Amino acid sequence: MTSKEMAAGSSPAVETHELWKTFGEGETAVHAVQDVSVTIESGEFVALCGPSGSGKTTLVNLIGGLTDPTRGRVLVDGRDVGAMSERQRAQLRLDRIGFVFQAFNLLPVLTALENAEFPLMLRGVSREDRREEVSKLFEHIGLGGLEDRRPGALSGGQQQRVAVARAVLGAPALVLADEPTANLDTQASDALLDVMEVLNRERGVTFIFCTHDPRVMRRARRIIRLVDGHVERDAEKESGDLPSWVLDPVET
Amino acid sequence: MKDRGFWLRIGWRNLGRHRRRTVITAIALAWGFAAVVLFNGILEGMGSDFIRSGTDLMAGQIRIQNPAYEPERELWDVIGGDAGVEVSELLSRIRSDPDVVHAAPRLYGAGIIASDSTSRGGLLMGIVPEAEARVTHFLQGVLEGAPPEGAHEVLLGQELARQLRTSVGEDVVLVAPSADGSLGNELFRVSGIIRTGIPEVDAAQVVLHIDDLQFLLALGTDDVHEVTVSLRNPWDAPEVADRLSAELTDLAGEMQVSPWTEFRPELVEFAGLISGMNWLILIIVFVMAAFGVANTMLMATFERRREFAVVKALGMKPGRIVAMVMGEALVLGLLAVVGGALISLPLVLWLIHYPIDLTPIAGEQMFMDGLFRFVLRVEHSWDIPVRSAVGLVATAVLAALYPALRAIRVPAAEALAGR
Repeated sequence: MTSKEMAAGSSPAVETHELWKTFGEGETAVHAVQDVSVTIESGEFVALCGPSGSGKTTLVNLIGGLTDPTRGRVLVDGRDVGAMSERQRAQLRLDRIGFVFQAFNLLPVLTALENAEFPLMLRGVSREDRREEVSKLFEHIGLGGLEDRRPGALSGGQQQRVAVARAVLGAPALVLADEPTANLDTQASDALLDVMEVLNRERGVTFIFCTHDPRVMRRARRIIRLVDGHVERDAEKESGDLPSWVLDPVET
Repeated sequence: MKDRGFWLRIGWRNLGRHRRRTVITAIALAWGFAAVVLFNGILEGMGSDFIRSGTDLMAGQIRIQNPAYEPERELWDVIGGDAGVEVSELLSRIRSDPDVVHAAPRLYGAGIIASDSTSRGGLLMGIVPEAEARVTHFLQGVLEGAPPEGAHEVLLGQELARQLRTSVGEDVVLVAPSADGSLGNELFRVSGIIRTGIPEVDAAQVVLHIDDLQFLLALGTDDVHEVTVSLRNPWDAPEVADRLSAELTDLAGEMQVSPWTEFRPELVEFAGLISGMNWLILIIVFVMAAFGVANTMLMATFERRREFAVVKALGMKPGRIVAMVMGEALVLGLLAVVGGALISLPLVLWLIHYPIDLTPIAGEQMFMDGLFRFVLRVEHSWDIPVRSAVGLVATAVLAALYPALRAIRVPAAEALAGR
């Protein structure tokens, strides 16, 4: 049974309806996201691509309820994020969503292990269970033995792996990852993507990546290309080959 | 809350990120705490001394009378009424109370005192000198001679003796209306001259042995107007008075057992003033502390906007973010309390055990019918440091509320983008 089949019958993981996000007003207004309507089913492995400033990060932030849309609606698991209180959104993120940020964003006063287990702790998972889960994943992604290091004592790649571990531990229903492999070498990227693919395949976790990385896009089964806040192209792909339209003109 | 230790550890580590700023803030708070503890302790000590001096000189801390005695002060309104009271049994019962230091009987009257050259009106006070000396201090004001030891001896107020132009060893005659309607008169020898510092007392007081006054006023040996009681702690007076009132009823019927807080209300007002000053100092220092903590925590939250955005994105609820910031302030407050205790404890202990007598500089002052000596000392009390510590920690935590509310209002997306 595929991950999509596992999720069949339930609400889509994410739906956006005529979604707009505008910064500023009047003549200086910038439309970061314009009239975006997409549906992402549970268990999808989706890459959002497009040039810098195309609205990828803003769209991910809107989906995660980190910012309010100017117009339109975002539904996660069928629930309208815009209609939720701050507390309800926090609960939604805690229960359903894992975030991977562009700039690691680890908490500098916590060790690698404490950073990774942070969301589990917020969920009330016992210390023993947390430690067990973190240790297993750390071993798998090459962070074994680094548990007690603070972020400042880790390389960029190691920090990003901790950030990914933090996002995927506890298997959230949806992982929003903003350039998760930007600071990783090929080997580390592949290891992380392997973990994510396993979670996607075996547990039906939905992944939405903002990425410029062809390695990520090759693994994605659906690619949505944004340009100037619009969805320019939205297509599923079967093979590991990349269609030419996914690459930014500047990169091609 | 689960993992409370984790949150305190985060607070501790966050404070450690800017050690200099944390140390400076903690030292400022610690000094504030130390100042409050020290000044409140000194003021409490001074207040206690005022209360002690105001009650110890003549009034005592508890007064037991016939309920009808005040305010007319009729001679026959003795304790126990017409039947009087077994004085030794009454005193024995009172002295058996664990909070009581001692008790002394008194008898009062009014009369005329005449020397060889002139006469004056006098307030007669019959005492048992040995007992009185253990309850009040006014006998310590004897300037010449001694308290009345034998029969037919009187101690005169300094001003009264001057007006009578008499001195120690000379004879005076006391004439007083007696309880039976007759006029009692007796010859007495002046055993001493006393100065209490209370002008109306020094100008009229005639102190004699209670047996002599009972005889002069035609009263029996069971007739006393008052029993004056001294206590280990003056502040226990209302409670002890209630207890004694219940315990003594069977002995002499109804009795008026009054704590000093009732018969010296001006001292209560003064104690209230001291307490008010203590609160004022506490509030001034803690308001300053609140601004210090608020400033530090506000800086910290501004610097950590991105981190607050991250924890919001990870699903931390607003209440928990508030708790995290306030937890940091809690750790800061606790740090300040420990520092403040280290600063103030040696000074407080020193002033408890080695009070500094400022009398050579400031002299003795009459204040509220008490002879007050300026002694710099700290009243031993757990209330002050505990109250101050709780106050400081609560202030620190509450002062962090505004920064904490700012933290939950951090716009996550903008902060993550570095805007």
